[in-house]
Amino acid sequence: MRRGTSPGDGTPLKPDEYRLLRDLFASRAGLDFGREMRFAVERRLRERLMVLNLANFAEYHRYLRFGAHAAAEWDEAIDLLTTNETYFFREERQLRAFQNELLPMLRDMARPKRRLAIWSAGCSTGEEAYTIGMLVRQAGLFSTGTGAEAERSPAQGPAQGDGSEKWDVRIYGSDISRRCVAAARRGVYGESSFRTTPPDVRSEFFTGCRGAWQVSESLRQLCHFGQMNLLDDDRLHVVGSVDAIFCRNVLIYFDARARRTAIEHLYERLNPGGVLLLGHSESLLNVSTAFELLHLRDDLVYRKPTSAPGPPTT
Amino acid sequence: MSEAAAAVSWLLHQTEPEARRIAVHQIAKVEGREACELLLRALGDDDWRVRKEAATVAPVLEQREETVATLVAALEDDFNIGLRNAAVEALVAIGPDAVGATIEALDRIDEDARKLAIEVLGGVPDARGTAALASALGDEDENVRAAAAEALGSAAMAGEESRALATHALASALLTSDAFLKIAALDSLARLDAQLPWSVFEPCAKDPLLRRYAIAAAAGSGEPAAVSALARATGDSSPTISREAIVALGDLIARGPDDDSFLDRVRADTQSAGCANARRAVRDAEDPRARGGALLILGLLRQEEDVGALAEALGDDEVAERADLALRLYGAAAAAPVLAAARAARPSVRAAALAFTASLEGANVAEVRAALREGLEDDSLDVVASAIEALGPLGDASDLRRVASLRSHADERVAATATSAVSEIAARHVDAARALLEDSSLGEDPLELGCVLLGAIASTRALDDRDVTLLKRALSHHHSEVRRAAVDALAQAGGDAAADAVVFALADEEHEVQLAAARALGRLRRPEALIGVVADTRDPVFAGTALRALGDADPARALASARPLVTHPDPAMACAAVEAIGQIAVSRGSGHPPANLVMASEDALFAALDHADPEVVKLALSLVGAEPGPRALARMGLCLDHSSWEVRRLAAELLGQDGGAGAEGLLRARYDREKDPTVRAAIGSAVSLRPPSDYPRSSEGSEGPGAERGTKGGH
Repeated sequence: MRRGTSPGDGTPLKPDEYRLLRDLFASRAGLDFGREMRFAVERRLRERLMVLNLANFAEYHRYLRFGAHAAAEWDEAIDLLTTNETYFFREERQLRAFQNELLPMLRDMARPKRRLAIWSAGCSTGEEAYTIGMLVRQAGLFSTGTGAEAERSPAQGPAQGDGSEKWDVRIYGSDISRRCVAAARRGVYGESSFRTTPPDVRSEFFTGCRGAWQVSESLRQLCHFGQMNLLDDDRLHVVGSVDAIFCRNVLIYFDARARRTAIEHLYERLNPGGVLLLGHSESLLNVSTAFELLHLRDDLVYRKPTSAPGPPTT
Repeated sequence: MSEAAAAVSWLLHQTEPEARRIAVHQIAKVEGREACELLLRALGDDDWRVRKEAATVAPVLEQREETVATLVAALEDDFNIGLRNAAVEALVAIGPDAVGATIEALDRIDEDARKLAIEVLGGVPDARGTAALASALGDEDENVRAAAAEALGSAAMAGEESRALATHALASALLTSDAFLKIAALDSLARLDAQLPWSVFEPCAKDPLLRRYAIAAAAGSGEPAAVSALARATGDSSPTISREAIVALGDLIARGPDDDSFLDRVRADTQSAGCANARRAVRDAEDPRARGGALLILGLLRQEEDVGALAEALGDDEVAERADLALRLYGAAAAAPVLAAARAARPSVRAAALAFTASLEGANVAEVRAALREGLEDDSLDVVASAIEALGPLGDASDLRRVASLRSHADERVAATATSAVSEIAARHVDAARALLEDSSLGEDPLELGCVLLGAIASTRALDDRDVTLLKRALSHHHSEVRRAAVDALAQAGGDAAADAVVFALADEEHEVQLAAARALGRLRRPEALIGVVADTRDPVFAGTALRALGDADPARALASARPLVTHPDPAMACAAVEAIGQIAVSRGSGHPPANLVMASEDALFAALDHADPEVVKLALSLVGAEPGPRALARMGLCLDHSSWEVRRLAAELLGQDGGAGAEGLLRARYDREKDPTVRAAIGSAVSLRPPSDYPRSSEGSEGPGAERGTKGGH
C-alpha cells in the first residue's frame, strides 16, 4: 500500500520544523503538542503557507517570530490550532452538581454584595458560558430584574428571595482564539451544539434562525466575551474578581509549566471561598497550589480557602 | 542550633501549611547536619504539599552523602507513612548518588522498607539499580518481588543493556508460580516493548488472570503466532482484554502498513466478534488509543458499513492520522462510500474526505473530480478551500476556468488556494491556459491571472516574445499582486531578458514584490544583485530570502555572505543567516554540495550555537542535528549544558534520534545532573529509544532510525 500524491505533499511538516513550532506555541500560548499531533498541525497550518506564499514550515516559523505581520498571523495560527468542537451541557453530571450544590453556596457567600461573577476560561465558541447562564437562570436563585424571570421554566416556580433582592450576575467567557470569541458573540449554533440539550430548554433560551438557533437576548445579556491568554497575567486583570471558574478540558493542552502558571492566575482571580471546576479527566495533582478539595454529592471541585487574600485590585 | 536553622525550625512549627512549605526552601541555606534534620522534619510533615516541596529540595543540599544516608534510614520509619513515601521521592530526585546506598540497605532492612527501596531503584535509571532489581525478583517477600518487577519496566531509561537485562529477568519470572509477580512482569515487559518469542507469553495468555497482561505484552513479539493471538483476542468477551488487543494490534498495523503477509494474517484471524468490538471502540470518544486501533482494524477488514465511521474520524484531530491510514488500507474502493458518507457530515469531515479521496491511489478520478467540483459550491469555506486545493493536481482543462474565477474570492485562504491550483492546472493543460489568457472577460484585471498562467506555462515550455513583453509590462502595474505575479512568471521563463527586468523589482516599494524578486533572482542565477541586498538591508526577512536565493544561484558566495551574520546581535538576522546556511549544507536537488562547502557550513552553524539568543541556538541545533557527523555530536553534547531548558531539551531529542553509543553516553551523563523535569523527561525518553531493528516501520519512519515506540500501560 502506498500513499498517493496529495495536495501539499511538496510542503510536509518535517520533524525539526515541527519541534520549532511546537516550542513556539508552548512558550507563547502554553499549548502542548505531542508527537502524535504533527499530522493535525500540518493539516491545519498548511493553508497559511499558501496564503503567505511561503515555501515551507521553517519559513512559517520565522514569519511567526519575526515577520512584519507576525502578531496578526499569530492570531490566525491560534485560531486554526485551538478550534475545538464543543456543545451545550457538556459533562452534565458536573453541571448538575454546580447548579444544585454550588450555586446555593455561592449565593450565600456573595449575598452581601449581591454580585455573582463566573468565568468560563477557555470558552471556545461560547457554549459553556451560555450553558452556565442557562443553569443560573433555571436555578432561580439570582433575580436580575431584567424581565428575564418571565423566561423561567414553569417547573422552577417564582424566583427565591424577595423581588427587591436584585443581583448583578456576570458570566465571562474568554478564549485565546479570536475566531472562537467572535463566534461566541454571534451566539448562533447548529444542531451538533445541542446534542445533549433537552428540546424544551433549547426552546426556552434560543430562537430558530434559518436552520440554526440564536441565543435569546436575556441569556446574551448575562454573558460577556473577550480574547485572553491564560498565561498572560496583564490581560486577565480585566476579569476582576470571580466566584467560580470553569476551566474544563483546557489545561490538558498545556505542558506542566504552562499548567502551573495558568492555575496560579486562576487562583488569583478567585474570591476567597470561590470554586474552580476542571474537566472530569483533569486534576491539580502534582501542581503545587493552595486549593482545597471540596467534596460534593456528585462531583469534586477545588476551592480557594476562605482565609486566603482576595484578588489584587490593579 | 545555628541562626538559619532556628529560623527554619520556627517556621516549620507554624500551623499554616503554606508557611511551612515556604520554610522548606530555606533549608538549603542551612549547613551541616542541621539541614538533614530539618529536611527529615519537613518530609514527615502532615501536609502533603510540604512533604512534596521537601522532596524537591533534597537534591539541592550540599551534604549529599549524609542526606542520602538520612533518607535511606527514613525508609524504615514504622510510624510515619508520609515520611517514608516522601523519602522515596527525595531519593529519586537525588538520582544516581542515591543508588549505591539504597542497594546496600536492601540486605539489612525489613520487607516494608525493601519495597520502598525498590521504588527508589525503579525511579533512578541506573545499570546498578537494574541489576539489583533483577536480583530482587527472587526476594522472599511477594510484595517486594512484585515491586521489583514493576520497577524493571523503566529499565530502558538506563540504556540498552539494562533493557536487555530487565527483559531477560522478567521473562524468567514468568516461569514461577507467583501470579502477582507474573502480572507485574507482563506489564513491565509491555512497557519495555520487549521483543520476545510468542512461546514466552502463550502460557500466560491461557490463564484467565494473566491473559489481559499477556496480550498487551505480546505486541512486542511480532511473531505470526502472536499476531494471530492478538487478532483473535480482539473478539474476547472481556472488554478489558479486547481493548488491550485492539490497542496492541492497532499499534502493530500502524508500524507495518506495507507488510502484506502481516496484514493478511490480521485480516484472516480477526473474527466477527473482534469486528463488533472494534466498531464499539470506534464510537468511544473517551479512549482515543482504542479508537485509533479500532479504526485501523476496521480499515483492514474492508466492510462497507464501516466506511461512514472511518470517514467521520477523518475530521477528528486525535485520530485523523489513523483514520487516514485505515482508509488507505481499505483501498481504492473506499473513495465512493467516503464521499457519500461525508456529504451529510460536518464541514471538517467533508473537507478532510475530499482531500483524502483526491490523494487515494486507484480511486476513480472522474468520481473524485465530480465530488471536488461539487465541493466548490459548499457552504463551508473549509470545504471549498479543500476542494480547490485537491483540484490543483487532479483538475482537468475544464476546471481551469472555474478555479480561476475563485481567485477573487473574499476569503484570502480560498483566493490563495485558487491561485496555486490555477498554476498547477495550467502547467498541465497549456492549451486551456492559453485560451484563458486570451479571454479578457475574467475578473477586474486579467493581467494578474495572465501572469499566473504564463508562469505556469513557462514551467513546461518556453514563452514567446509577446509573453515576455506582457510580463514586463505587468512589472509596472499599479497593483502589487500583479507585479509579484509577473516576477514569479519571469523567474519561470528564465533568460537574461527576464533577469534584467526582475533586478529592478528589488527596489519595489512593496515588501512582497521585493521578496518575490529576490527569490526570482536566485532561480535566474543572478548572485551579484543578491549579494548587494544582503550587505545593505536591515530587514531580516529580506536578508533571509536573499540569502536563500543566493544559495540557489551560488552556494559558495551565499555562505560567504551569510557567515558573518550568524553572530549578528539581532536574532532575526542571525536566524535568517542560519537558515540560509542550513539550506546550503543539505541542499539536494541537482547534486550534493562539495565537501568543503558542507564543512564550512557546519563550522558556521557551530558558531551560531554560541549565539546569546536561545532561538538562534535552537535553529542552528536543529540544522546541525538533522544529519549529524562526529563533530556535530560533540557540539550537540555541549548544548546539553546550555542555560536554556528549551535548548537542552532539543539537544536531547536530537541526540536521541541519533541512537548511537556516543549520543547515549552524552545523554546519560547529562541525566544525572539535569534538574529541569521537562528536560529530564526528554533525556529519559531519548535514552530509552530502541535501536534500529528489522521490524517494519510505519509512515512515522521519517522521524529517524530511533523512532520512539513510547511506553505502554500506565504511561
